[in-house]
Formats: sequence, C-alpha cells, structure tokens
Amino acid sequence: MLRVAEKLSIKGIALPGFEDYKQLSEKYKLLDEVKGRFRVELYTRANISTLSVKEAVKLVNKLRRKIDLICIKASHKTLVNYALRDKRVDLILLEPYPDFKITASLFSLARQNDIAIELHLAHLLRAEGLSRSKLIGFYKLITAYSTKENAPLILSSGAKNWYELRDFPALSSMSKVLGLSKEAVLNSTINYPKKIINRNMFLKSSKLPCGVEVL
Amino acid sequence: MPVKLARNRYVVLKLTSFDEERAFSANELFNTLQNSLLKLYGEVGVSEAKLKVIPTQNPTLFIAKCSHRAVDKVLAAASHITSIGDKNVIVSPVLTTGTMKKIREKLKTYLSISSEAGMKKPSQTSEH
Repeated sequence: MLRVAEKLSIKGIALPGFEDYKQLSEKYKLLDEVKGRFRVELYTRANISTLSVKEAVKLVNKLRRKIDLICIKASHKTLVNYALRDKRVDLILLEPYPDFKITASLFSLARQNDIAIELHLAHLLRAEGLSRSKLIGFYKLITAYSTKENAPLILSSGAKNWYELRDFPALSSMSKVLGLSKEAVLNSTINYPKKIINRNMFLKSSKLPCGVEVL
Repeated sequence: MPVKLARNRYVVLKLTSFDEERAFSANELFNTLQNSLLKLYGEVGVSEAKLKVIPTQNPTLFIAKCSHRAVDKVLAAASHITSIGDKNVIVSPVLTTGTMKKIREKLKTYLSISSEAGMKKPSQTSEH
C-alpha cells in the first residue's frame, strides 16, 4: 500500500492500529523499520471503538501525546456525545449507518470544540447500485450539515486495500458528487488534516497545551 | 462571432497498478469508464458525456475526450474505478485541457515535474 501511495505522490498516511497502548513500543519499532523505505510521511492513528465511555476515556488518557491522531468511531450515541466534548479527540469517524440520528447539534458541537468529522470514501468504491445511492444520500446529508454549521470535515480514502487509495485530484472529483464546493474540498482533504497533524506534532514535542507559550 | 455549442475537454488519466507488466488498452479503459459512468449517472449521463479514450506514448497515461458539460461527471466516474477486467487499478485524473495542443505541452511539463518530485521525500520538498 505504501508503494502505491508513493506512486500516487501521496504526502502522508495515517496508519491505524495504535489503539493498544501496551504494544506501542513494538509497533513503533515496526514503523521505524518501514519509515525510511518509502517517500511517504507516516503518522500513527488510533481508532477507538469501545462499548463504554469509561474505556474510551482511559484509552484517550493513555494514548494522548503518544500517537499522532486520536479517532473515535461513532458506534453509539453516548460515545459520540463524549467525543464531542473531549478536546483531546481529533476525529470522529462517521461510518455508514450509525444507529443514532444525525443532527445539526453534532456538527455545531464539533465546530465549537474543533473536532473534525471524518468520512471514508472507500465505502463508495465498495458499494454498487442501490446501496451506493443510499450511501451517497447519507454522505450528502453529512456534508450539507457540516457546510451549514461550518464544522470541520475530513474526507479520507479509508483504504483497506491498495486499490482503494486515492490522491487529491481523485478525492476532490469524488467529493464533488457529494455536493462540496472547491474550497470545502481543499479544506477537507488538505487544510484540516494538516492543521490537526501540526497541532499534535507540537503537543507531542512540548509539555505545554496548544496556545500556551513560555515567555 | 459564432460560439461553438459542443466544446470538448481532454482529461489525462493515469493508471496505477501493482502489476507493472500488464498494459491496459484504450478500449479496455473506455469500456470500464463508460460502465462506471453508466452506474453513477445513468444512460442520460453517458449520452451527454460523448466519451472517447485516446492512448498516449506512455502506457499508463490515457486521454479521455468528453463534452465540456460532462467533465466533472467523467472525473468522478474515473475516480470510482477500482478494476479493469480482472486487474485492480487506480485511475486518477492528472490534468484537464480544452485542446490537444495544450495537452501535449502540459504533459511534457507534468512528466518532467513528476520525475523530479520522485527523487525527494515530501518532508524535503519546500512549499511556496
């Protein structure tokens, strides 16, 4: 997958699978081995999907400042409600189809706490026919809410196989189907991810929270 | 001055696959692209696109000729392709122009830039 990412001139990839804080050092060793081989920046990412909020809080406490991206999978309403209020969470991954109602308040809270809502476009590639049309409808609803509430939205390829990876031109033409403007596409594919990565790189290197400076 | 009603657009598509030995023909890409367009936008979408696929000297680059009204649709349909025949492939749009003359000029610069960029790591490149 990294070789293909290199071919597509993708600048960076967030690698999931860093949820287990006990095996972090082993995973970092593996990452260091791969890092030099390809011309792609690699970032670490944890997709947290727990049944209880307590477990999620524990994982966020353990993982913050150790990995680059903390993402909460929106599997149930209570977890989403927690994630929307915890500023240490970077992303909320909305996978089709959640068992709760998507409302405008979700997006306004995301904007207030600077938490991005993430969509994986690989689902569009995997679906066909009526299921794809239903999926496009669901994604259109999310993009419409995020535009209306001015909430940060991130569109990523969400690839599990190499052929599901997409570069910026392909991502932007796919997201035009979802009714996003040119500026919104640029923000959701380049600007917001860059902003989050830069913020977390700063947090990893310093002990001070974002926005605080020693004079 | 009379205005041309049906203007064309030329989109350069790049095929990326794991199997570098397998070369795809323009006909194969045309069929796959048309099928993808049909799935995404239906029969009316395909008829409006007036699609043609032209091969280039580079076996991974193809030119898709289409109506100027259907460029976005063709780009979206191309991005939704995951396989041609039984081989998995990524189709990504590289550039769009209005004439074949311009496409030749732009392709030259694209090929020279991509070969230079391939020598550097993203963190080493400077952004302006």
